[in-house]
Amino acid sequence: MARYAMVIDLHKCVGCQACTMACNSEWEVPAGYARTRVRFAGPEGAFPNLVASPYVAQCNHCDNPPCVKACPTGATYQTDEGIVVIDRALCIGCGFCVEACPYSARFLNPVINKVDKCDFCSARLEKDLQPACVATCTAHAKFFGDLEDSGSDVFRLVYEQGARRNESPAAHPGPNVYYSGKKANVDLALAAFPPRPPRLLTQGRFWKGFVKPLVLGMVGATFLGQAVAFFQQLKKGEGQFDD
Amino acid sequence: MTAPFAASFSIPAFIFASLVLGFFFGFFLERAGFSSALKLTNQFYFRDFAVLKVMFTAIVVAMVGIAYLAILGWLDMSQVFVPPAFLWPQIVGGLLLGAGFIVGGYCPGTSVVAASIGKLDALFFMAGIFIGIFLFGAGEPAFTRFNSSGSLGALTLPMWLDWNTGIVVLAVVLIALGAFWVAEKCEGPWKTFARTYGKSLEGGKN
Amino acid sequence: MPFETLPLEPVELTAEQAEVMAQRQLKKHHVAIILLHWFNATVWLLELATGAGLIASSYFRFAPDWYLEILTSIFGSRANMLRFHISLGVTWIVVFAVYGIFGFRTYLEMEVLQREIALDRDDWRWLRIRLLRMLKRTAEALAPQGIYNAGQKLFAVMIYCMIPVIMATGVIMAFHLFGMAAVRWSIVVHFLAVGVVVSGLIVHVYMGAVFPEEKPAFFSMITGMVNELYAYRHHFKWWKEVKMQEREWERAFETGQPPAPAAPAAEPPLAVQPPARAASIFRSRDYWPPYVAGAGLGLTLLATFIVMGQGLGASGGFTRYLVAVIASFAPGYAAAHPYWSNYYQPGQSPLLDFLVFELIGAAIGGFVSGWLSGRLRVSVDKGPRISNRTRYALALGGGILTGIGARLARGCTSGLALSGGAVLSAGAFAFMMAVFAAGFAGAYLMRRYWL
Repeated sequence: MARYAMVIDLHKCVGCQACTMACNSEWEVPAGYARTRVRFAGPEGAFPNLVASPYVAQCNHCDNPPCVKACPTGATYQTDEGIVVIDRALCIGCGFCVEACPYSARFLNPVINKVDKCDFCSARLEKDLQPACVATCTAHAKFFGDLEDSGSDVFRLVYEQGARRNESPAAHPGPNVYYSGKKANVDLALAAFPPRPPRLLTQGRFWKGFVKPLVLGMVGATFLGQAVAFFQQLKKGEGQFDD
Repeated sequence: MTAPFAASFSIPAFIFASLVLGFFFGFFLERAGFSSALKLTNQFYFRDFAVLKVMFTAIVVAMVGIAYLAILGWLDMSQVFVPPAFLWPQIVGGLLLGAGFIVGGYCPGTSVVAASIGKLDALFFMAGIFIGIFLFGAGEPAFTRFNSSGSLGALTLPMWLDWNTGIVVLAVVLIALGAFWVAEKCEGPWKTFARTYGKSLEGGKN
Repeated sequence: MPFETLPLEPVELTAEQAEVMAQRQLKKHHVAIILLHWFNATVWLLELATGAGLIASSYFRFAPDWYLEILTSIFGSRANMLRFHISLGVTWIVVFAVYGIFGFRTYLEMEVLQREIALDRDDWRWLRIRLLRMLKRTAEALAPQGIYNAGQKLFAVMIYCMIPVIMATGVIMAFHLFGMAAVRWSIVVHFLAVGVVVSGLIVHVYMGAVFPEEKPAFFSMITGMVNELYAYRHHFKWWKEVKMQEREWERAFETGQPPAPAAPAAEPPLAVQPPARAASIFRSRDYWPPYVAGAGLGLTLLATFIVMGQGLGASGGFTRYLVAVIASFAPGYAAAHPYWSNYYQPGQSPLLDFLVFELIGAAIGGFVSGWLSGRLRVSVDKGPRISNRTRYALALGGGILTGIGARLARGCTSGLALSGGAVLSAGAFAFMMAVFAAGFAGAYLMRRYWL
């Protein structure tokens, strides 16, 4: 069983957005939206110690994804390989997951009215192809592979060269996208795009705090009432009631 | 997402929402009996305090609701239209409108519902409104100065009194309750009189 | 014939009478109703089963794991289950719509609903006694019931309230209407409405299928017939109605005169009161109590602020209609005029405004209210001492004063006093006082025209 991860070398990345274009055309993401995009942090500091860094924002395929917990229908789930995917046939586009994601990686695709995001190009992986963004990266800054395979690039970068991930201190989702490169670059990029705490919308709180207990209580109470009546009826015997 | 929502509506949705809100407006006005000039003017003869009761009940309900939603942060008060205060024109306008009310028997909103159930006099009243607005608008350049005198901006009672909104809301509720109490007291004698002498309390009722 | 004359109240039956009545059958349900009932029951069963399985995430769900697993294995995948849930739901809506539009429309007619579903005084009494009897606090006889008893009526009222909600929210979710927030609210409301119905449904199923006293009711949903004894004991008022109709036909048979088709109870053949029709607040010819109407108006006003960000109004709408007319005759004049140009700019319709459509809605609302309460009539409201012509002149004059006053104050009783009052506008309260002052002062001068 594999455990897939992605490593992005922020020192190599030139911010050309070729990954965005490759992804958008591969998955027919409508214009104005993207599953992955390069953002920029800095420059910071004073000459000659200026630091600037790109940052690749996309789904982190967390070990413990908040979006999966927030999805009412179970359309979003984690595969055995640790990839967080969306079953479009089950997605009703309610957007609970969009708000729950600490990395703002999800969006409502307005063409199909379903939520959309990176899925590590699961369909390409089945055909033994690299994800589109990795295959297309002009600077060879993106690496994709199996963290359990000690011969893979990602294993080397994560376990031997200390690539770091953008962990959320609030939720500890355990992201599987790692950033490597010069320490100053990674420091700046991770500081500039901190994960936000997962949000649960009013409707979700209303559901859990009010509607669910109310409905279960109501149904339970009537059921109990009828059960009591039924036992009384059995005790009395039906003959009592016959006309 | 906080209210109000109208800014995000498409034009058909906006029109539809306006029609629906208007529907309930007209419906409740008619239900209150405001489609009858006799019922309306009975207010000014201390015979039927429905005008006062309905108006203050509506104000209290809406005011409490708005205050509540605003405090919870569901209604963005900066997006809500507060009528600007122009002290002198509003007092003079109020006097004119009150005079028009007792002479004509309706006010603009009630004349619409009265006309909608077939009151011919309400049609004349509506025609009068159009004439009045035309006279006012056409002549407005001559008295622009008066028309914009006493401008205080979107002044509200809490701003004017420098009280907390919650306290003003509470005070208005108490004043309204007091007004209802007075109204019930005043109506009582007339109702007894009407019962004794068989006069119709609710004019215009079929 | 067990009875010579129809009893006014349920009376003790002799064994012989009961024997005869138990043999006779009365028709209770039309076959279309029976089919619809079972169609509905099947749909509910399947939709509930799949719906419970569709709520899957740890945060939202309430069904246990094994239940989800069983359902998933039945349907092959959860996506299939969702497709099934949606297609069955849409079928359900279509069948109900076809039924409502083309077929047996009666259950959408006010008249029928009021007779068969609205609760009257006997029904409330029945509910109270039923409850006390269940708690063994009384042995009082249950109040006589119409074709449906009060419990069934309550259930029907609930169903009528909830089913449109369930349908609407279902459609919103299935077709992703009105955006993500609407879909999220629909999830919550759909579940809540279904929960309310299910808690009623449990009672309904128990009473219909398990409770021995109501067994004939269960079989009537299959055969359409109930025996007369059951009808007499459980639905006395309905039984009486049926009997009265029967007797009228019998008499018609003897005399050769067909009975008047309308209202069998209009001329009761016996000294029986016509069946009490439940009074409806919507049909009432009386005006509503001012506090009730005022609360309704207040809620409308609140909704207007929430939706539109402004209050209700009237004179602003009048102004816009007038400006539209002026601008269509003399656009140059209107655009250049210092006052009209506030409402009219070339290329921009003065009519695209909330108040303009709200006034149309108000006219419709007033009309519907007047129609429901029988107040629609071409008439003139005037004091007893004046002619129609005087009244018209006064109305016109009053209108002119009102028009000028409303524009000067930048609002009328609705636009300024009511809406401004609700947001505590200082000007609104000053205006309100001025209106009442002038009204009370003028009332004295105008007394011979009104009193």
